Amino acid sequence: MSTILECSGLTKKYGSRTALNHVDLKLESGRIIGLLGPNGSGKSTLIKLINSLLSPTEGSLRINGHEPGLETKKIVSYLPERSYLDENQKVSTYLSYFKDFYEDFDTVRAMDMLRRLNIDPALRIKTLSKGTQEKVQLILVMSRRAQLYCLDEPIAGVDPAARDYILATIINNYSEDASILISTHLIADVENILDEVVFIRDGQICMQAQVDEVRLKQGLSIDSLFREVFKC
Amino acid sequence: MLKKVFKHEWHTISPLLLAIHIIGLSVAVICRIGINLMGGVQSFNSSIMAVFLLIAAIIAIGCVMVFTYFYTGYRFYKSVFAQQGYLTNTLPVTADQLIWGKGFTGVIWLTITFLWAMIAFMILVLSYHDAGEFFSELPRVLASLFSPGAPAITRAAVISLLLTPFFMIIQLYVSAAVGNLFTGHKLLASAGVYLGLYFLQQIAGIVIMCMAAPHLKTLTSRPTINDSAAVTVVYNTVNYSLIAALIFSILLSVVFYFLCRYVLNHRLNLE
Amino acid sequence: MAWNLDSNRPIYVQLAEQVQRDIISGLYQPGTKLPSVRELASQAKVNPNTMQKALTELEHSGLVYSQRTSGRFITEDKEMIETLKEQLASSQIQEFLEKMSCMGFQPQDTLHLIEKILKEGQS
Repeated sequence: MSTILECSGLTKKYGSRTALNHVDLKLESGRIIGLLGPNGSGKSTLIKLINSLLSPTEGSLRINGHEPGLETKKIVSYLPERSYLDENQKVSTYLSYFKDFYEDFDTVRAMDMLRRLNIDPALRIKTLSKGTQEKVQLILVMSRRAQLYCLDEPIAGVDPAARDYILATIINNYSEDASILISTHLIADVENILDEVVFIRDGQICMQAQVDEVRLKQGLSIDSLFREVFKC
Repeated sequence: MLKKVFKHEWHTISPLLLAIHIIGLSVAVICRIGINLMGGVQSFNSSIMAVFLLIAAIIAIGCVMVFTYFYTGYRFYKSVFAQQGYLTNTLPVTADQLIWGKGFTGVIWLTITFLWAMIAFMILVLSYHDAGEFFSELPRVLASLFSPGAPAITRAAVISLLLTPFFMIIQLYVSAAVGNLFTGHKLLASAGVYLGLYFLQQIAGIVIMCMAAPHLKTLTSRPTINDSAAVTVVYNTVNYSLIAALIFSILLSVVFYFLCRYVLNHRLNLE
Repeated sequence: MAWNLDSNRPIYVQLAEQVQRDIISGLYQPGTKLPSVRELASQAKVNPNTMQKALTELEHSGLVYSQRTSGRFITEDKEMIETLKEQLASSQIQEFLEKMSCMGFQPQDTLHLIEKILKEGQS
């Protein structure tokens, strides 16, 4: 198994506030990993660093052996917390946009998923409901054959039916040689699809474990373990 | 990738810009028809209505130009530093490709809007006779402007003219980039930065003029100077200040470019 | 149809149990091909890696076997399935008897009760 992500001494400060504090983390490829922590614990900061939207203050970060940059952008597929779609554009514009910029984008797969949701690619983004916009964005992100998917809070603020759809889409598009990093604070909803969890608190990794080992050894669900670790 | 950035940006900004240019041109044509009904371009000193139509059309043309310029800047801000930036900045393209790709669309639209404004203005004020004369003279004027034997001052003016859209666009982009560093009210901050840069450049322009001014002094200090010598002094002064301003603008734009690039690579501050 | 999974126990163990139940119940007939890992994972709404692990467990027990190119098949050994069925049934009955004894029923009483309920159900 190869290492998809390696951080050593990774630190990010915003002015005087430290968002990530000397994080050492190693993630293997071929797994679905939950990045779990309360709000403001540094989840989004880590994901933004992986996607070169931020530069580290200290320390290093390697994705498949490369520092964040042009090479890593080709292999990382990123779903941010909020929508980045231009409301005035059509769904089909984004299909050709992704097709043009990402060599690993699979248009057929994306079209197929849109068809199943009865979304006409000729529609403009603003005519779609908020939930459907989120689904379109997920479809775009998951239709790439990337090596690392970074999904930042993919199920926050959506209804249970949409939640099921999102999780099913993630599973159905996952290929065994890729890795998925899902950041969330809604643990009970995602824990059954995870291989591994990373707990993060105050900018530091406080635990990294295989989920079935936790259940086997401690007889606890990840949700219960989380509540125990982060007890106030 | 540069071509792809250009292509997508072009398709995004062009529909709206095309629409307002068509509307603007229609306004000019309608006003001209109105002016003709008032008695044609000769009636500007007799009919208030004709003058009113002329002013209204010129304001419309000006609005289209100003809108085109700031719209390209707004698009850059919106696609790179606002929410869409989450996609734009994670595309496998370099900061250079992003700036040039998007910048070219702005430069082309600015060039279009300048030419468009000239045509719209001519539609408004030229009589048929003048228009015919203008177009018959145009090839000769253009040939002399671009001829290898053109005087230095002409060449400096032509180069300045051709580079102006680039200067204007990079100034917008650097304002958006610096505005992005602020927490909250980024668009407002960008506008503030733009105004600040604008005034600094005006001041720099005056300083350059003053530095060229000593040449002018020779005009007043030597009362016995003859006419042809005076022409030479004035000519040289304009020449020097034009070239100095051109060099200054180029240097400034290069600084702006690298600043913009640095922000994109190391100081992104997306909400 | 999502599978009923308990987050407190290892997921792969529960998946293996579920597939085993489906084999015993005859949903998957002996000798037939099992759906692909991806399909099963999608049905159960779990990660394919976990489903893979569950099926590997079943392979170890001999209930399914894999053919390099064509996928996984249910064993043709009907006797094995029968034995397993009995094992599962007896463990269920054991559990039930324990619960009944907690309520103060002796096994003999329980049996009478069952007969009574069955008769009532018939009439």
